[in-house]
Amino acid sequence: MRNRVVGSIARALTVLGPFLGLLATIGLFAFLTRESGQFLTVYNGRMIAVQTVIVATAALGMTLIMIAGGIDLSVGSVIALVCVVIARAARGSEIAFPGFLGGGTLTLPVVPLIGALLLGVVVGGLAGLANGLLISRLRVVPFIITLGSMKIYRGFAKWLSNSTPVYMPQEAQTWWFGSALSLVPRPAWLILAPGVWIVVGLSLSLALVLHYTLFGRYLYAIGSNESTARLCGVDVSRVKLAVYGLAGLLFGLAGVFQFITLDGTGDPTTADGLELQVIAAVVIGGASLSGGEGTILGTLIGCLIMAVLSNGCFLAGIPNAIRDIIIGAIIIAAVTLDRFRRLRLA
Amino acid sequence: MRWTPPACFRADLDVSEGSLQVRDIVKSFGASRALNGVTFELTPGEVHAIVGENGAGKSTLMKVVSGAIRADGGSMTLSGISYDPRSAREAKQRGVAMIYQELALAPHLSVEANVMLGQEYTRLGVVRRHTHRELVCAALSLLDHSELKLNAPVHTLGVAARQLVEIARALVSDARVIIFDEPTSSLTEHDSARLFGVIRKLRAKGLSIVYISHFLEEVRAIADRYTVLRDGRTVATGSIADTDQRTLIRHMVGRVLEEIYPKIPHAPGETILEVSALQTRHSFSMRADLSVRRGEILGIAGLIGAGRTELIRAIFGLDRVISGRVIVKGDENTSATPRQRIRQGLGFLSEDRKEEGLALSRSIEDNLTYPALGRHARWGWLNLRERRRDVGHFLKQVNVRCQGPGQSVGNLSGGNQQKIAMARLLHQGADVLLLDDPTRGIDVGSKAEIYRIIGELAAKGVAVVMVSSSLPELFGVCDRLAVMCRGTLSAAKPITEWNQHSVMDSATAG
Repeated sequence: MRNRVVGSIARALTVLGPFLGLLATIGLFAFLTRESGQFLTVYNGRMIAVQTVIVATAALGMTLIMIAGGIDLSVGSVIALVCVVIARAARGSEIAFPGFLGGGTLTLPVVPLIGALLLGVVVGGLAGLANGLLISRLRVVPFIITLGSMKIYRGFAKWLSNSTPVYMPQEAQTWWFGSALSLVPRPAWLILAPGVWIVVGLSLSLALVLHYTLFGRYLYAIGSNESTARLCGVDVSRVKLAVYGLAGLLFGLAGVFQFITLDGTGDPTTADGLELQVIAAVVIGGASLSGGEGTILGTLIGCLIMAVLSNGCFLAGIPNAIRDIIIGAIIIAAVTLDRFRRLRLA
Repeated sequence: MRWTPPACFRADLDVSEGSLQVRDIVKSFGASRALNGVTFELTPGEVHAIVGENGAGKSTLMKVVSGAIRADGGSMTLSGISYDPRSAREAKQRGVAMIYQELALAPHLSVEANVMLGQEYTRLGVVRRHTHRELVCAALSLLDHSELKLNAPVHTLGVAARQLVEIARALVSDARVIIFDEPTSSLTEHDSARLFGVIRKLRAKGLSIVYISHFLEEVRAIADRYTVLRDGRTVATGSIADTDQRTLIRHMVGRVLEEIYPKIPHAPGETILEVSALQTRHSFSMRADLSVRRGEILGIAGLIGAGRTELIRAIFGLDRVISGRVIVKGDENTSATPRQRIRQGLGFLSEDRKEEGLALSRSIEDNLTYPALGRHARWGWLNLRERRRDVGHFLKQVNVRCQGPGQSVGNLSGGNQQKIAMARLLHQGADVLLLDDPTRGIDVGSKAEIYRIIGELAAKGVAVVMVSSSLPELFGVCDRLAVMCRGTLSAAKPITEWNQHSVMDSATAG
């Protein structure tokens, strides 16, 4: 009986730990900014929510991959590629092939904004599928495959944009484009920006998928022990392909949000190093780099901790350099605490 | 480190050293009490067996003795001096060495480097290779295994040879007390017999040996005295020669275990699995024909590395088949994937629970239902309540001791883990079972439980192919037996036409 109580407390701590961490971070910055009082305001709350959207969308995909024991370092590059593709499609311009490919140009038609955004998401999905295909066919560890594809996708982004930002034409703008991630949403009864609600909705559905579907259970099984999954007749290659593809779609959506944040700019150098932020958020949320663990709720809390830190440091007047040191220390502390908890549990 | 010849190489070994008294050791992990008053005494020049079911506290006790963990209470004396090691290193310095169940060697280093690892002799920071060689050679020849090459990387050696490397390491560290933790769990009978020779030699040198095992036949063969642990307590101790098997088992399980191999009547029906001229992608050439009928238990004996595991893995589609035919229920499909085999009604139990058999961090119910998860789902969505009800039913059938279906499998004892792996095959509804050493490293009570399940399944018309390293088990459970030797499977004969000698002859022939 006592064992059972200890067990359930330990289980509760799995989610509660990161949550308490978030509360502590919020408390700390509320204290540090008590004079200006800018931190604990509704306005700032909205700000943090909007600032989290891109990392959170990508982190949802990364959570799925990491539960299955994989990793994807190409997130940042995929986001940049998606931004460039959207801008290009909305402009409808020409792509020049380099001389060694025979030269020539390819003329693309103008795509309406909504179509361009959808195309962006699809490109993200394809990039993910390509990763998944290479990982499951070549049987090389995901770290190396995606380290390579990180370079490849960044290269594609630069090539498609001639290494300079591509701007979406003013006439392509629609009324909803700017308000998707605005601080004060239109209509006002939404309270939070539509982009934030999209993340909330996706999180809910993915949490349900992880808990209630075969696919979700198989992800945990593969991450926990791939040999067992194979022994039990799970089509490991297909599940892996599916998870990288699904995560790619989410990275594509993150790219769409990034494009909106950049106010319609396809910058090939954007989101450089974002993958580390995303992985950090997922790890702070309780996922393990060796797979088989992780929850959507944990990941969201991890994202919020990162966002609150950046925002709080800014408002408290803490320089960027110090902020980086704090974030680094928190990553190490979060993982160490998690390991400690696991030891006690075992 | 200064050069002093280790004790076992000296003629004038002080035989009063190496006695170990353990009194009332208590150790708790969180809320659960692993050791609750363990007392035993080890005298120099004896082999002392510590027996008990899984979870009885044997491993915890040995971790305390070898310094890996510290006891909460109780006392120990070594060679008459109080002994309370704070680390494995300190225990080693006092002369207590442990040979672990999962061998602790660096696979890429040579035999010599592994033996000397952590106890190098140096001069001005440079390793004294000459001294090392001399020491390692001396240790190996003492073990009667001078044939081991000092330069061979350890990963090229078999399990038995690796064990010798560990023992040599203990000798070089000047150990007086050597603890063997389930040393034969991955050895064949032949290698076990050789190991016993080594242990007897160490005993004759005046070293004290602690021998932990589930295998009572073995304990009988090697030990002088025994101590039985149950639920973290010493329940009996005495001389092996004065105690019969039944008494030992009664002490271990705390009740009278009537029959380890329950006789459940079953009659063979039509042939359900046929394998002919099967050839797998493997270093040696393999050739195997076998057929098994409904309601029949076919045993496969043989030495480890003879290709038994590879054979049934290939049948299940886990290893690549090069040529030959596999026919399940009249359906020829030789190179199928495990997924297709499961659809055909085959079930596989891995010899390696931890690495392959179970997803240790996942729950009991997940592990139990993976192969047939779709049965609890509609359009890919699971009905978790129905699944839990179903799982409870299977847990009862296999008598698992657990907190509930949501508990993670990694927290269960080895015996209970294996029962989960068996329950998975029941849940899957497989009618051809391929079992690879199904009772490896589990306690007597759980073994009896597994034999009962196998018998009951056969009675229901399930065909069972069972690979095992334990001859008593094969003779107790199987209807027919075939022996594998260097990739070639002998013809299967009724179990009554075999005896232990003829099996060993076939296994080591050629």
